[in-house]
Amino acid sequence: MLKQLVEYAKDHLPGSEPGFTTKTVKWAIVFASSGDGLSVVELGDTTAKRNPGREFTRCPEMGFSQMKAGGVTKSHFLIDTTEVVALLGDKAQDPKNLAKHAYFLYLLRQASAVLPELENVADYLDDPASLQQVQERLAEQKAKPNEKVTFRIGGAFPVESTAWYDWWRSFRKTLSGGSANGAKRRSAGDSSMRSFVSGELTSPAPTHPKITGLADVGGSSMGSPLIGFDKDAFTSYGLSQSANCAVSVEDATAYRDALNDLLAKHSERLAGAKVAYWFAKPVADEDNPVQMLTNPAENGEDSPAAKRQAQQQRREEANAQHRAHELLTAIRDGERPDLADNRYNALTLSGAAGRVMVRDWMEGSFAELVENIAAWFDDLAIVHRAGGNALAPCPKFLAVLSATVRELDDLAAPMVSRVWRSALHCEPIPRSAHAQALARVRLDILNDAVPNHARMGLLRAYHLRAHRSKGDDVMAQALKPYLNEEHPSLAYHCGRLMAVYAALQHAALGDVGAGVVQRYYAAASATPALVLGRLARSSQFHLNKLEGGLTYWYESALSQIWSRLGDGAPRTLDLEEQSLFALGYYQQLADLRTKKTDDKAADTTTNPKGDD
Amino acid sequence: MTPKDQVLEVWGDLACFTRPELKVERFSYPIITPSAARGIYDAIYCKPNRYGREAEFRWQITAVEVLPWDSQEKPHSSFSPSYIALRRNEVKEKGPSDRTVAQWASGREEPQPIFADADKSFLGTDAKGRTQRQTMALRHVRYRLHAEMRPWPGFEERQQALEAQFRRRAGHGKCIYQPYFGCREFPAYFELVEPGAEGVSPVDWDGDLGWMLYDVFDLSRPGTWESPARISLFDARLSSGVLQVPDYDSAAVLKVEGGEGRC
Repeated sequence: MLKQLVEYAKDHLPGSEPGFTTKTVKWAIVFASSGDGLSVVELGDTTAKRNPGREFTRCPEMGFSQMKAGGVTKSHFLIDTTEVVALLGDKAQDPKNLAKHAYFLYLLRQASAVLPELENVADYLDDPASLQQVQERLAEQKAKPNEKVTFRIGGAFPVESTAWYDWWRSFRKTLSGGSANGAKRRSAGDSSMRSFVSGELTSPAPTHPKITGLADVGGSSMGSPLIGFDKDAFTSYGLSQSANCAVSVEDATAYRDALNDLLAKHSERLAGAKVAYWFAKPVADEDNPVQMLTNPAENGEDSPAAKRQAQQQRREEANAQHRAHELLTAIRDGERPDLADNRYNALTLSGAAGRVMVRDWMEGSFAELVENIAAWFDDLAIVHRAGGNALAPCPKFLAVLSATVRELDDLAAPMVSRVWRSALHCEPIPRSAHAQALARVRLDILNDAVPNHARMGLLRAYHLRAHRSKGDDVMAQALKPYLNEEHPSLAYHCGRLMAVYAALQHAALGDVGAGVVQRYYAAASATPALVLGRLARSSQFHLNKLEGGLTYWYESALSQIWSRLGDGAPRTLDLEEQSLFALGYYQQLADLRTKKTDDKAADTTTNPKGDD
Repeated sequence: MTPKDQVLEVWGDLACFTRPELKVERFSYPIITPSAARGIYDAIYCKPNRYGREAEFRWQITAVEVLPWDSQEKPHSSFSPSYIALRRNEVKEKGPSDRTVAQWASGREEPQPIFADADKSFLGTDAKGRTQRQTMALRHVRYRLHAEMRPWPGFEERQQALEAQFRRRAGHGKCIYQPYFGCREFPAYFELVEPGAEGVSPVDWDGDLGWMLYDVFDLSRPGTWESPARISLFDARLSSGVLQVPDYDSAAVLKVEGGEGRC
């Protein structure tokens, strides 16, 4: 994992080096080339509602160990908060902050040997009158004490100059006695260890830089270390701090930069976790299988029935399932040699009390990834609730996750990573996800809510993958996206009966408020033998209210399903059978709607109540 | 004549072979490490010595075969280990050393308890008390381990007898302490595999696992109970579900010179 991250940094982040990092700065104090302070300007997109500022890719960085070295209160070089640089805010006059301000000016004066204009800036900020001007200008623009500020001198940002690089490299070394990690290394008692990244002999970095970008999934906004051993119980064998996992300062910086870059540019937030992913070779957005998974094409689920056919056509062309299969065929046929030997890496992370938590790590071939994602959509495919011969649109990955809970906030991060693994590795759907989805389906049905395609698809995918993993291809093939009148499961046909009884009641009595579904679905899905007999009896009253042709149609439909039950409905159904019951109910419902639609188009007289 | 290759089939519900880089929020290697496998053999039979002078042999793991948990289960397109997320409240401090406990017992020092359920407001420091930590453990693991006994100098002529004793113990299910998969709370169950016995085929798994921990101690010489850590690594590659483990003395194992051994 670390090795792949370091390789990513080498390939994509040529500027990755200890002592340098990317920073976002909100404010700039503008100086004329003579050194006179002119104004304060806001950086970044000032029209945006929330402007984080402008990103500078190669800024000076002082690590934790350098900041603490020598017992001197220090500040950063060239970029720091307005509180430190301009003494802005209520706590600006605290002795510790004043010491930081003094150190900031000290650094500017030291660096003026290579950037002479910094001497004037230091003088300017050292003068109480001019400092007050800066404070007033920052206050006018409503700058906050914790926002970062830098300088622009004569139209150029010193932080973007390369003139200070060598000075900064040598200055950093002086902070820890000639070595960036010398002091702590001595305390660890190890002069050299094998690096877990390269396998080479190395001096382990005592502490590791922080990963940012996980604040929205439980991480600290200041960043959290991926590798850190700051408590006794976290260390072993008498090793101190990060000597427990030897990684050089250079590699630690490289994996940090890689992870920060991936989290910022190539990651997906999935409820309580974030997935950073990358490919060994560049992949165009339209060929990116992870994006197909997380953001499939338009859905148009609630379109009117009349437009459905045309929309389905467009959907076919653009949907993710279709694109995944197309891409897979192209790779297999040798039309995409650029993708055939590509590989992917995916890292699932979340934050925990100032630490980074790795929830999953996956790697594999690109072709296998595409194949697995195509299989994911194939397994989730389910008939559209409106009937017809249309499939429901491919659900977003987040929609599949949300199918298991009432609200997205209820999703637990471990569940997210397990379902993510199911999708990327073609593994069985977790039982817990199945149980939760089934509970939500039951509630939907009882509350007469619109059936959720992702939920029904998840139930189907669960059964398909569970049966396949047991080598039971017969059951796996029997569960199609559309109604299968030949399905071998009795529970499935019990669900079908429930749907027909509900349709029969509606045809006979119209809307009666709490119908047979609301009153009997929960009991029928658990103990069908007890409930379906009662429904069979009451259906006779409903049949008597119908006209001849329709009566005949319902009678034959019911007898056809009852004949599938053989000796009768099962006494009880376990959880898996209950979900087959739900699938049978849903697919029969969609099928009834299909038939009504077709009949209506052919001859409205045979189905006078043929509305949806 | 006892076989040189001592084969054990081991299995357990849970396992955590913690990656050193992710040992705080624990994340397991996808397969057992040679040092964890050595620990299983040691749990069944070892002849250590407190000062290392009379230690008789060490175990050399030669191969690890990854077996399917359920041989009836149809594998997916390619095997991948199954993980489970566990979260537990743990203390931030270490248990006291033997010397400290002796001082407490003799009354020379006031005992310092570890508060298992205290926070900063009670203890005045963030470095003590409890914290919640995650473990990404492996679920349903089954391996066929291959190892050889390597007698230390002076004990070569006892190899046959030592091997026979190991086979007797392992064949009867005896162990010095319960073998475990990486952490003591994840017990490993074992069975001696007789030569020529037909077994389940390894899973279909090819992969480059990168630099993996080989062992924490120097295995080139007998050590003592207080030997310092000398971490060694090797390039772990799986071919058809089999991890070939190089000999500790080979160049394929990256070591740091100047260590002290482990008996």
